[in-house]
Amino acid sequence: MRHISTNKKLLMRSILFLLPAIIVISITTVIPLLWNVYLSFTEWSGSGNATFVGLENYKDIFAERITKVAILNSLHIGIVATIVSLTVGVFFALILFFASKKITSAARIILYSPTMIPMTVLGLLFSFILAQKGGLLNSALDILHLDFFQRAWLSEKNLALWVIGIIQGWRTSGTIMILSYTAMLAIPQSLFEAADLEGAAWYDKPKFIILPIIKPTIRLAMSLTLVWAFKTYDLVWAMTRGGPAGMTTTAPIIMIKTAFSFNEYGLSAAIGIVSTLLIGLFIAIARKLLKGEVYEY
Amino acid sequence: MNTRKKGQSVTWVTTIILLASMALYITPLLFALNTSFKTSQEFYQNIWSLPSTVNFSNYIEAFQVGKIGTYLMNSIILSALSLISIQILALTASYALSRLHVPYTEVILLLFILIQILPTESMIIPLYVTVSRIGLLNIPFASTVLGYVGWSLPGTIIIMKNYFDTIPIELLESARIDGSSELRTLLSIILPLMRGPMVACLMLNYTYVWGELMWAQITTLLTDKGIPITVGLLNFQGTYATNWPLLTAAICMILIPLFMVFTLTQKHVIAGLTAGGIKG
Repeated sequence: MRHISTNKKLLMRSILFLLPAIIVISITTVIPLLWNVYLSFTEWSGSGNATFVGLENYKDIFAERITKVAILNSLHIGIVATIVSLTVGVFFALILFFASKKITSAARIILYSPTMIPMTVLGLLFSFILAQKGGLLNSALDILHLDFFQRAWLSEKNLALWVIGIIQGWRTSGTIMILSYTAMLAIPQSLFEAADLEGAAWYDKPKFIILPIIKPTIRLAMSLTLVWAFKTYDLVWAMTRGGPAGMTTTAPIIMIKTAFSFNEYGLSAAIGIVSTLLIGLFIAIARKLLKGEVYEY
Repeated sequence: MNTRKKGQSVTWVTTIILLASMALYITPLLFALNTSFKTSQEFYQNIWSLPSTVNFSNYIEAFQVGKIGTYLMNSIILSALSLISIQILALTASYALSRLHVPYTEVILLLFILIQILPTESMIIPLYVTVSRIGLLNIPFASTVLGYVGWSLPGTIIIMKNYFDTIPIELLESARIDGSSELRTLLSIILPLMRGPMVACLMLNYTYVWGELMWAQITTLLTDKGIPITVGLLNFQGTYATNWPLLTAAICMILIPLFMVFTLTQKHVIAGLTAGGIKG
C-alpha cells in the first residue's frame, strides 16, 4: 500500500517538474508545426478566414521563378558550405592533433572563434573585407600586384553565392573541428604506437586510423552543417539583403518576404514545409553517402 | 630513433601551419580594430595606415547616434531573460526525466530530438500569428524570449538529462531517506555537481540567443522597443552604408565582450559541445 502511494507522489512530482517545459515546448514548436502544415494547404492573408486550396501553394513554389531560385540558391549554399566546413574542420582537427601541445589551447579558441561571432556581425565584417572599394581583400590584391583577381565579390552573378557558401561553411567549421578533435583524442594511444612500430608513414595515421574511426562523428557533423547552411538567412541578410535583383535570395528570406511583405501566409507556410522536407532528404542522402561500418576498439 | 625524428618533423610542420592559420584568422579582426580608431578621411587615404591618434570618437558616435548602446542593453536583457528561463525549465525537466521515473521517458526524448532537428522555419509563421493575436507582441521582449526558450529547451534538456544520468542514484536516495524534499535535493546536492554542464549549456544557448536574427526581426517589426543588437546593427548598417570606421567600431563593441566571455568559459563550452553524447 505504502509503495503505491510513494509512486503516486513521485509521479505527481515528476509531472510538476516536467509540465512547465512541456507547455512551453508545445506552444512554441508542436502546435505551430501542426498549424503550419494546415496553413500550407490554404490561402490566408493574415486576417479573416483561410480558404482551403489543396496543393495550390506547393504548385506555386515550383511554378514561380523567385521561390524556385531561392530554394536552388539555398541548395547551392548548402552544398558549398558543407564541403568547406567538413574539409576545413577536419583538416584543422588533424593539425591540432599533431601540432605541439603548447599552442593547441590558444589555437582552439582562435580557430573556433568564427563560430562564436554572431552571423550578422560576421556578415558585416565580411562585407567590409570584400567591399569593392576600400575592402581588405581587394586592397591586399592591389599590393600584391594581383589586380586582375579583384572582383565585386558580392554583386557578381554566381560569384556571390559561392562567396556566401564559403563564408557560411568557414563559420561552422569551428564546431566540426571541435567535434572531430575530441573524437580523435578518444582514440587509444596503443593504436598509434602499433603504427609507429610498423613504420607507418606520416599520412598513414590519418588515413588508416583516425579518419575511419571518427567517421560517425563526421557523419553527424555533415548533417549538422547541411541543416545550418540550408537555413542561411542572417549572413545573406547582412551582406546582400538577398540582392542584387534577388540573385542571392535564399529559401528562408523568400519565406519571410512572402508572409510579411506579400501577406501570403499559406504560400509562406508551404515554403517552410518544402524546406523542411528538403533538409530531411539531404540529411538522408548525406548519411547514405558516408555510410560504413562503425569501428569498435 | 628514426620514428621519433619523423614524429618530430610532423609536429613541426603542423605547428607552423597552425600558427600561420591563427595569424590569418586574426588579421581581419585586427584590421577592423585598427580601422575603428581612424577617421573616415584617414581610412580612404590609406586603408593600411595606423590611426594618427587613437581616438574613440567612432565608438562614442556609434554608441550615441547609432544607438548601439541601447541595442546592446536590449540584447543583454533578452539574453538574461531567455537564459534564466531556459536554465530553470531545463533543469527541472531533465531532472524529472532522468531521476523521477516519468512514464514514456524514451518517447518524450525521441520527440525532443525530432523537434531539435526540425528547422524553425517550419513553425515561425504560426507562432508569430499566435503571439500577435494574444497581444504578446506589445510587451517588449516577451514574444522574442518565448520563441528562444521554446526552441532551445529540447536540446538543452537532452544534454542535461545525459549529465543527470551520470550522477549516482544512491546519492539521491540517501537524501530522500534523510527526508530532504525533492526541490532541496535538486538545489543543494545536484546543482553543485551540475555546474560544468550548466555553464556549457548556458554558453551554447547564449551564442544562439545573442546571434539570432530572423525571429528577433519579425517580433520587433512593429515596435522600436526591445530591438536587439543583431537587428539594430543592420539598421545601423543601412544608415551608415560605407562609413567603415564607424561600422567597424560597432563590430568591435560587440566582439570584444564576446571574446572575453568565451576565453573565460572555453573549457566548459568545449566540454558541452562534445558531451551531448550523440553519436552519428
